Amino acid sequence: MVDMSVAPAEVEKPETFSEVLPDVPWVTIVWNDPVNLMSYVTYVFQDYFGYSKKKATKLMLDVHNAGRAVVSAGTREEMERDVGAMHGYGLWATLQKDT
Amino acid sequence: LSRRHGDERIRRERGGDVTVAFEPAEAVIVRAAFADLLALLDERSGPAETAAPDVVPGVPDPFLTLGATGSAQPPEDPALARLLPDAYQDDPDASADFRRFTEPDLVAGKRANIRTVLETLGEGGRIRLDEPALRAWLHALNDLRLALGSRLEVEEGYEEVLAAMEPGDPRLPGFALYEWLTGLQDALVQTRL
Repeated sequence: MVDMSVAPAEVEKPETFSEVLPDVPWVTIVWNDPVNLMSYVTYVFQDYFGYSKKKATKLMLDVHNAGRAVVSAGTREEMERDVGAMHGYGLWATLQKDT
Repeated sequence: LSRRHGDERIRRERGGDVTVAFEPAEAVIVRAAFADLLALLDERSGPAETAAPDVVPGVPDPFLTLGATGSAQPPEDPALARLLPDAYQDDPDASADFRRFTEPDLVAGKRANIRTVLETLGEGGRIRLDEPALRAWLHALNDLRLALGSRLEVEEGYEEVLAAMEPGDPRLPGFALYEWLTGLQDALVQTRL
């Protein structure tokens, strides 16, 4: 039995110099957790991002099997909006610079 | 993530609404559980005096007096921390800024969902949910399960732990509620997929 509620620590820290580059892409990551339902996470990806059922299901399975998945990419402001929305749905989401 | 199956208490009606049947006793239990969740969220609804150290000692941060910002610190209560997580994995300063400016709205949204649940639930019976109400139910049920799951220390594969519990285990009533809420939420989600 694996406790997936503790996130892996190997995520690289963003590099400072890229703070000044406006077009550095950011990503929203959804993390696996033991409470959220597979059905609900699929629904959230369809409902919020407008993804097809197929794409939403694939992303949900990525979260479930790999522990995390990138669910959207864009500017920092856009990713903050997406992360805030995911928290509204109760998903565990963070944003970071794409590495 | 976990997987569930359907539920006969729920019907899709013509026009897209969904109806859900609750026994009066179930309604009492659901109301009590959501009242607890509202009380938990109340811990983050208060004033934000402790949000951040003053930039100039003795002079409060002017942004805090606008009333639009919340605490910069993550909640100490694990259940609350799960409902209001950090937005950045490795950047406490960015997480604190994000939290100060977004958490009040996040909490307000969660409270509004719970209010919709309590209003539509009433004393139980077969209740009718339109699209916005169903959405509020899905979100609020998820928040309730997150808080309860945190209290019960639910982990991946918890079903095995549950199956091995002694009849007198004090965690059993909480798990019974958790399982029941899980089945209800999944059945409601299935109407949207």
